[in-house]
Amino acid sequence: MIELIDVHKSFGEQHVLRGMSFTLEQGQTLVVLGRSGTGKSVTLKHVVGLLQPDSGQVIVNGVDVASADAEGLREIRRQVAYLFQTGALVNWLSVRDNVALPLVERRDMPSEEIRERVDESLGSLDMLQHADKMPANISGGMRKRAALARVLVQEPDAILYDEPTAGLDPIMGRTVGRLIQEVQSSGERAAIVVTHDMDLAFQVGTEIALHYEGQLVERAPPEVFEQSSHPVIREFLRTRERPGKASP
Amino acid sequence: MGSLTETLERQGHALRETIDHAGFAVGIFVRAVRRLPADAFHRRRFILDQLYVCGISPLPVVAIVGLFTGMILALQVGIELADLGQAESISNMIGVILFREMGPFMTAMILTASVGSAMAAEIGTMAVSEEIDALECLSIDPVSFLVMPRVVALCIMTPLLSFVGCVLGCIGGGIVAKTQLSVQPSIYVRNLLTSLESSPQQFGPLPEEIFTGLVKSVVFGLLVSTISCAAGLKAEGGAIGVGRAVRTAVVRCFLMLIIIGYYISWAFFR
Repeated sequence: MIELIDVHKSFGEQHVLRGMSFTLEQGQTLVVLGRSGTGKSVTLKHVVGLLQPDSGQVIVNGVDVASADAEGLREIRRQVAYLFQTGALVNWLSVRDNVALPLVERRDMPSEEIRERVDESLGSLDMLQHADKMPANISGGMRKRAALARVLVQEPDAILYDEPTAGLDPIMGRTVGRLIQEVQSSGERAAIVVTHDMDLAFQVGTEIALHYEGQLVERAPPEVFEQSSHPVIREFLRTRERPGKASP
Repeated sequence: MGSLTETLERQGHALRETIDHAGFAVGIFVRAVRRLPADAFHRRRFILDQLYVCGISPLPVVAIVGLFTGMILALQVGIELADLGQAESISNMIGVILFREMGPFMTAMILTASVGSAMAAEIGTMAVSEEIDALECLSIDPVSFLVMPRVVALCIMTPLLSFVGCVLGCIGGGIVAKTQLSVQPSIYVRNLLTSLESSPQQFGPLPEEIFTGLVKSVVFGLLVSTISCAAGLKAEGGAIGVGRAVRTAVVRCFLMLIIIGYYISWAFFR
């Protein structure tokens, strides 16, 4: 469903993606680990066409993202939803209006159906009682849940999670992990979870890979990934064994 | 030699950036206008919100500045006219100066400082916190969603505010004319209306002075909204980037207002 073929991307002198290639099928949850600033989010932005590769191809459901026209890109973005690190809710709209936004913008859905789907989506994430609050008046964890509700209401085929537990306390981080597990439990959706939270990686991933020097390396199921001898992976794994004592 | 090359390189880079931003601003203006017929009704709620933000919020400031501008004008010009025994002509000058030049310019300056800077900051904050990217991921055109309602609102509210400012300026001038120059209010009003009615050209029911001022106001509204939104959309680099976007918006608005204001006057009164 999602395929990257030898994608290269540079920002000035910085060569961020150096032949990035991978495929993702429905039902798979691929966790991408990597240190900050290695280009994990850049990879995700290529999938939804927010960035164009310097060379290489990004294919979503058989369509080349770079050469898709406006309608094609719109269709790709309906199929693949993106959960941003900060939630990226529109600040002057209530939680309910934020969640309804993608449906309202389609302009072909009756308002009653929109309301039903929004309530269902908010309810599934235990956010219905906060529906009329403004994003500024809810906690970071609630904002993440509201953003996830906005993603789910679109009923996408795949979800890209960009640092879903960043800025959350460990308990809320585990809650977000459980939500992702629930969302993926149907086995019908593909997901890429970009993170450097090892607990989350092992909680939700059907496969884990390391984003290293502009490529995905050591992609494997969690139990195999855990045995990797790659020095960066070993360093990540040590943070899991001794939380708070990670190497700088 | 090295420093000269560096200076030239910096200047060249700044020039290229300015041209790039101007092109970007023109581009989003064209896109906003093209989206208007299809999206105006769908975005009526946002347009109404922006009408309030652009029209009602700055109204007290425009009113106070308008009133006192008229009073200052009356005081400064009136003293000179009184020396020549022409104090009663004060309203002729105030009407022409306010409606033709000062009203639209002053209103646009206030809107730049209050509304334009807020637009740049608001959109800039959205840009640096990935909210614009999020809109694109939801297949929402940021120009239609963010820029078009603001452009429409400022195009409608700038002439209205300018007119209110001019009327209050005339009232302020009348107060000074009565209290400082001993000009009777009835004479002041009669001369004011005569000066406006005796314009060489009429545009429908509007005298040339008022019509020119309204045209200027609409153009100024377009300039302030487009430049401010463009600066916000181009923001990058966190809080510093937002600050830079606001400064860029305000400086460019001021420059464009004075330059375009001159050319509109030139087109009407050469």
